Amino acid sequence: MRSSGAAATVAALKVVLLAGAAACAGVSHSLDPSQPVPKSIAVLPFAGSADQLARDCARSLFETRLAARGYAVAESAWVDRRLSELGDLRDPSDYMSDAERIGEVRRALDVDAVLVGSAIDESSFQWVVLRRHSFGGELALRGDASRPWWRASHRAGGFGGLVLRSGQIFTELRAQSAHGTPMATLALIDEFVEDVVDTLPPAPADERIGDAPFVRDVRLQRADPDADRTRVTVSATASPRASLRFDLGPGHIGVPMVEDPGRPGAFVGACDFAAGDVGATVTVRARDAFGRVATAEGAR
Amino acid sequence: MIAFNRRLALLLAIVPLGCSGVDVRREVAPEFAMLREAGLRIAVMPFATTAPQSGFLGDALESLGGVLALSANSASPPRERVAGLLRADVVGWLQQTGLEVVEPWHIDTQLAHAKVSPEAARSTESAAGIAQALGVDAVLYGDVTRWNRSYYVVQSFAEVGLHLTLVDAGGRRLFETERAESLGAGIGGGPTGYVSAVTAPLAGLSGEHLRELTRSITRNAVADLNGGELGVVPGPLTPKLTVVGLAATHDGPFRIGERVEVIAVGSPGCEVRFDIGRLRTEVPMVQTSVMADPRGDRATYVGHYVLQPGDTAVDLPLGCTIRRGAARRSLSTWYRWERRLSLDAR
Repeated sequence: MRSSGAAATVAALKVVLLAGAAACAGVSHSLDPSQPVPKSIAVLPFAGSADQLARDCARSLFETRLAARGYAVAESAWVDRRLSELGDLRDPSDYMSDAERIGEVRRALDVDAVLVGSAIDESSFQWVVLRRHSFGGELALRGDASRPWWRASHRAGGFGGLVLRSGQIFTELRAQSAHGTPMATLALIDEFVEDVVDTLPPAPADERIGDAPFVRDVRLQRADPDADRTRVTVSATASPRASLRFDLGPGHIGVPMVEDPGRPGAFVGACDFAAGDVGATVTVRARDAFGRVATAEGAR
Repeated sequence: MIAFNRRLALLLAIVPLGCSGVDVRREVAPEFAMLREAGLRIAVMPFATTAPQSGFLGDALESLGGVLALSANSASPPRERVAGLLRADVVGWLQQTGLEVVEPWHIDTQLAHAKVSPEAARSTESAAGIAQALGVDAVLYGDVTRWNRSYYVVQSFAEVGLHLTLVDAGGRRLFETERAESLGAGIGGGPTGYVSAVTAPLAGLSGEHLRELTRSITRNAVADLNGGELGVVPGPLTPKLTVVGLAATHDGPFRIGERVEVIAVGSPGCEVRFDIGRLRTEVPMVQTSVMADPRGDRATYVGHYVLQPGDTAVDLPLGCTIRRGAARRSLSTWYRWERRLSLDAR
């Protein structure tokens, strides 16, 4: 009799907790129709108490899903480089966006809106036979207006079972090398992102983003700082704010170049070789915020 | 008399047949197939050997000498050598599955650095912490439950048992298999003849036969884990780094024209690149040397970045990514240096 009473109590608690979980299942969101729909979006690094790998994974999935809804989404590597150059990003693991600088950041990133993720966290508890696990946070798409164009708050959660809605999450994980995060967490991130992005309207149709990138005037300059090594400096002219890299033979593939702060569009990079071991031709690749690439070659 | 002998031989053959072969027990979490399909990254922990002492095939290790010398420390106690042999076999077979497998030397090095006791490394309770530390999705534990001889009348058997448990980074048990396989010597069709089986029951079990048995049980256990037959071509192991840092100490921020020189040590034959925060990323590194080691070769990689005007930032983390290309996919891992650096190229 005692055992059946305990079983009934546990069953009742299960019902209560399940009901609570169901009540939390929807996405709380709002949209300001008075503001124009953004065409281009940059997703800033997410802030919160969740593990950095989990936050990066959520960010990456947002980028993918926003692009799938038709928005032009700036690549995170490009966004992070620009934020670093602005002095806004040092260590992604403790990044916090400055609400007062959002407008300035958006203009520096040259997009219509930035997606700010905050309070991104993961929680779990186990009580008797129940194991509740959830992942959630707050998102806002901000343009220049004081109010966000769109905001959402959501928490995806589950009891035990693991259901992945797509294989996308694992592709993202491989891309980021973000292993070590429990699969149950990844499944919840997948669910969280999908639920939240579903509340966004599709991007305006047939909207084109700016001009394709260009690169030209590639030049090599050689110097011998000492008897053992030769320094090669590569310069090029390219679309301002693009990410440039040069290839100069084996071991020197994809060397980053830097835009001169005083001369927009003028890029330079350098690397050292053992004396007499310098490649004869160089290839420079310019990649813009949206992943479009232009290349040019130069020779000594 | 001849007929009697035939009947006796038949009887004696039937008895061991009933005791030989394969015994399997398996448990699989419902989501494991999906995770496996997605390419779970796993670390194979050092195996335990809990086979009973009675009838332990210690002497058989000598016949496996050549193999053991390659795959496990020949100076180790017999139980450790057996565990090392089966672990190496399992890792080898796992390369023919869709799972990503971390190089064992990296796991052993990390466990030693973290001062993880052998008992803790072999306990499934440690899975969450180990998965986090090694950057894997799941941890595979192995236990050699049988490495024994058994006698059935004039037939002797060598029996090998293996228990594999896969636990994910959240502590969830994804897969478990317990498998025992045996190989007989004597009348039952083993490698010895009718007479020698009576006089030297186990002598017929050569190192070659025992080796076949270990390879068979590990292959079949991994096939269980794989949910079916293994692929034909072994894939690469997930590459790892053990050391990432600046090649030389540097006081204060780096200035225009100075080189940020980075050194890393890890799996050979890979593509390695370093990141200075998110400011300058994927700077190429080149492999400069390879150190041979029976546990797995290790390579040294070096690379440099020359500061340019505009490279100004404070307290940036330094990290390295090691990547190994493969026909099916690219495997990569990111490492972080524990200190930070500043650039002042104004």
